[in-house]
Amino acid sequence: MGPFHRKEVSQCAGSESAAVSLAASPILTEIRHALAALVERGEETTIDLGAMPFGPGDLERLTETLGEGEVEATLTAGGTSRLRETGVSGVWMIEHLGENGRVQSRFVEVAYVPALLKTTSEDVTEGLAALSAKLGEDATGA
Amino acid sequence: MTEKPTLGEVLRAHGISRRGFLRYCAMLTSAMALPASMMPKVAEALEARRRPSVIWLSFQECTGCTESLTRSHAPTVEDLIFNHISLDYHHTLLMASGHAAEAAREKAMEENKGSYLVLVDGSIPLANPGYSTVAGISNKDMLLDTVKDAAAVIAVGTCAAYGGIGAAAPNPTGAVGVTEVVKDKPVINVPGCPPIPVVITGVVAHVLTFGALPDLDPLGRPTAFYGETIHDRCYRRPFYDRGQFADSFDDDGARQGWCLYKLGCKGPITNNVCATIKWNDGTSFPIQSGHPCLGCSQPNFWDAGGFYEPVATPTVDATGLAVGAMAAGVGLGGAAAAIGAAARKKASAAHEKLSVEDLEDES
Repeated sequence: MGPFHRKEVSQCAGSESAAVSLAASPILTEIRHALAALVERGEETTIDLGAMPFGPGDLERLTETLGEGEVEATLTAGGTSRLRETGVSGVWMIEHLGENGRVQSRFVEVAYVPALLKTTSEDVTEGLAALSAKLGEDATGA
Repeated sequence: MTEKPTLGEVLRAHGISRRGFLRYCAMLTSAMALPASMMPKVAEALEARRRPSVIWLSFQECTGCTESLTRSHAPTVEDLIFNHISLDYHHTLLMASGHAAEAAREKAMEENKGSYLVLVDGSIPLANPGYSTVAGISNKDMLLDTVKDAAAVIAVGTCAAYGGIGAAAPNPTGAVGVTEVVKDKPVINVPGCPPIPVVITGVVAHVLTFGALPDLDPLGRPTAFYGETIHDRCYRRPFYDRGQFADSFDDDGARQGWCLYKLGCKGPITNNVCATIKWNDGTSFPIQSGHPCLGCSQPNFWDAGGFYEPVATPTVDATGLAVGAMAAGVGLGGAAAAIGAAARKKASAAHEKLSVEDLEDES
């Protein structure tokens, strides 16, 4: 017997089949509303998938519906996080991993760029000072 | 006493960047069951908070709550101890024992007067102080002595919150929860047998992050975690609404993943977040694994009827009443009305069946 594929394992889990999962639909609707808010008002939304009553197969259905996008980033800061744009532009799947490599929390962020990827002005200022110090110059450029 | 560092200072000292801090806040906000929109407020509050002293007292317990705590994944117990709090006393986790351990407790109380947190697991026996002691001190005396200068108390587990299994009928030790003993301090109940690991750390993190108690329900539980029933959030709820139930553990309904109400599921009367946060790093929860909820975060769940009896099943056996009533030539309604209140209460508490003879003796 060959290795189980993820979907097959999920369908075997517990005593129920993936056909019972119903929670993905309302979340997809919520994401659609959030996307509309981003387009119309520039309003960003974060949805904590850990707070959703997912049953077997729900997460798979959600990720399958959203599909794979073009951008994937890994954040290594106090742990590892994976950020990837789904096949629906503006909808990002963000996963924070624990030390054991397992996903500890999972968010959907509806934004042009996820907040975690943006560089803050404080960090840019510190970066300027650090680089200037290396070059032996004043950070103001004087 | 030296000024304790803020969490922001601790993280910076460990070389954690701003992104790392925000990542941490995102995970913590999720663990505290707060809306994701609260993340900036969590970050702001955490930057300025200082690590408070925590004293953990264990009384009549099975160590299951500590076992649960040590399996918290976000935040982990290591993270909680090294970053969030100064865990100054915990019987099980402390290296010192005996008088050295008690000295650590007294030192922490003295140095952090008015600002330390007390976490309690296990019930307190009131029938006889000798039933449970630590270093020769009764549980009640140790609790009262330790909380006198505390900022707040968190009762971890159903035993500490409501007496739990120790208080199950006939309650030989006179076991009670913390609120029966501590009357002059704020007490947060975090029930469960045991509580979900991240719920324990999430409640502690909430108190530490915001320096205030979370909103509590009438049973003293944080509404963020206990505001809804398991039934409200259960992925099998649509089957309940459609009247599709498993009638046994191996019938077609069970295989289809239908509602477990008829198999005794206490989800409709149990407030907890098992259906969303789940157990074992968010892997599953009892109902997802095909077993009814036992209602372990509710007061007196040990005495609330059979684990495999539907919620609607009366704890008094009505069958004997009906047969006896018919034999006596009166209707069931008349017999039920004649049940002595004292007999009902006694039978309910002791889980005994009532017979017509008992009722006749009562009258």
